[in-house]
Amino acid sequence: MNPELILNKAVADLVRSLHVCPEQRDRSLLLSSAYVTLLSIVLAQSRRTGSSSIQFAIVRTSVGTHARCIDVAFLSEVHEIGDSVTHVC
Amino acid sequence: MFANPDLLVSRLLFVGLIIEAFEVFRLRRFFDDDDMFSRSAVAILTGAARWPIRIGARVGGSRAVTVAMAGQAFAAILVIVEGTDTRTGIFSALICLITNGYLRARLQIGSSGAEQLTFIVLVTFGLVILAGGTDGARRLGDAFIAAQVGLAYFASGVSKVVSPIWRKGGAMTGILSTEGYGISSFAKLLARHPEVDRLLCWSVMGWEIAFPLVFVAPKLLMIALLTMGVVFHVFCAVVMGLNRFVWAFCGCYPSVWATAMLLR
Repeated sequence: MNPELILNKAVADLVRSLHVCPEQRDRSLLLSSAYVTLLSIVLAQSRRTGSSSIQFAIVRTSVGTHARCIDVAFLSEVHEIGDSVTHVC
Repeated sequence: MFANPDLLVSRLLFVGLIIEAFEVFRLRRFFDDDDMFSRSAVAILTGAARWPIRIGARVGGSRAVTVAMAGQAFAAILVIVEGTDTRTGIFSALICLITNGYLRARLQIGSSGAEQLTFIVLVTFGLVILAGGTDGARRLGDAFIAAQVGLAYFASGVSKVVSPIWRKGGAMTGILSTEGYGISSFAKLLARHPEVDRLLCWSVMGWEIAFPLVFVAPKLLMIALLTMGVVFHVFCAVVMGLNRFVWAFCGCYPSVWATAMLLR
């Protein structure tokens, strides 16, 4: 059994949706369902109380021939958050 | 697969459905509110989808998914025991169609080609039963599944051939270097021996593109192509963790066999 594969594939699906049109890196990306879903998932995670804003990154890792490599595949905008906001709908 | 329900190999696909049920059960907390497959997250993804998908995506949290997967596992066990030609077996297979359809609507992301093929087979079985479940309908269902598998392999092979990294070699090292799909020791081995990587790449491409020949090739070549398929999927399961592909694709080989025999 390999349930982690479903989780990895789910994130990969969302990230691939973000990269469908890499030339369209304008702010319209913020309205895509993939971006909003990722932001919703990130917002739902527990965070330090008193946080005023949130930003997320998607990193690509590999464990190939050398030491573990990490590079940033996507960096979100900084979003202000209020105490009452817990969902993006 | 449908035309020879007595054969145990015709029931392999349902082993995959049991594994899927246990895998999703392990992930059940991710279906809770505020998690990756929460109703609110999936609702965003299905906002523009057709109404049956939208409804399926918003019905039930982790408890409903758990119940559906328990039902799927139980029904799949019954199919393995009974086959798809008894009343109990047919009813159980249709239960699998419903639970699997619900899971696909509820999950939306994270599915692979194995899950897609499994669902196609279940829908085809539903149509075969709707058409009366006669020998003719079952043979037609087998032919459709066989064509689907042949097309899937051929398209996959062609898409690799047009990719320079597959033609030059290096694709296998790249895939096996990822944390999600790889074994680092195997990736390092391939990096030290690029000629082995190139050989593996061309072996996979050659076999995938040649697969449709099973329908017309001499029996010995047909058996060789199917055996290579089993080896390929078991290798992917062991090395890359793609366990579901073994049951989904190899589970369809009885349809390929039956159709190839029919064409002779």
